[in-house]
Amino acid sequence: MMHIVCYLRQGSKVFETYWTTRRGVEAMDNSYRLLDLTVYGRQEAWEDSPAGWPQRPKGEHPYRIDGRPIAQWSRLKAGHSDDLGAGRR
Amino acid sequence: MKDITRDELGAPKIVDRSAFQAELDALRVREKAHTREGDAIAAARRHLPMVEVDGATPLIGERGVVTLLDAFEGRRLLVAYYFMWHAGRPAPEQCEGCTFYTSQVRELTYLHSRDVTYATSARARTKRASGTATSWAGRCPGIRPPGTRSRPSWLDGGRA
Repeated sequence: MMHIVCYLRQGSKVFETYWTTRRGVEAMDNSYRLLDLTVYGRQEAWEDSPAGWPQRPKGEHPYRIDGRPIAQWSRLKAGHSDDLGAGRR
Repeated sequence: MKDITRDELGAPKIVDRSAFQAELDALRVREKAHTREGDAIAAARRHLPMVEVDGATPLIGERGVVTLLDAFEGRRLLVAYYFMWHAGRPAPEQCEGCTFYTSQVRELTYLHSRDVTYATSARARTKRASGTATSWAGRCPGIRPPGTRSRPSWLDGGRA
């Protein structure tokens, strides 16, 4: 599960001061923050929107397009390799 | 959405500006209450106690294995994101949600000005620390998850 964990260092000692997960990691987000200001919101099926508002179809992942996490596409177009060395353990 | 013409989409009812402003003003009261409640929750967060964790927890960063303590890069505070990394799997199969969140962390200098280091991490297969995060794949920018040769730039703080 994804987490944000916050730490404090005192000299060489490390302390955990906070952690969160799930919706808590929206602290990193600005896309949803901005979408929430638009008339159609996040355009996701769970949202309480008026009838007729556009929403991504059920079964279509909100973070994927054409088989990839959405953010990968612009990186590939910019010429970055997506070779992670998969298969090399 | 791009396949649907604008006429087919729902849209708000059209009113004059004063009616629009009156509704927006009413919403603004709730927004301001939300902001103040957020401030109050943040204040409560600053009153939490803390728990010691193992600073020697190994991480994999740009320069190979480092420790949790090293990840602070000398700063006093560290914000770590734990990425659900699927070791050995190709990029298209990596976590779309973690990609969504980590790709939006871009400008780190404001965090640095408050003595905060930001790091992206991933689970190692063996180590487990603090019950929440485990050992790390690397830092942002310059993340290199376990079992990978190259830095996947699409995780790299949005620097396309």
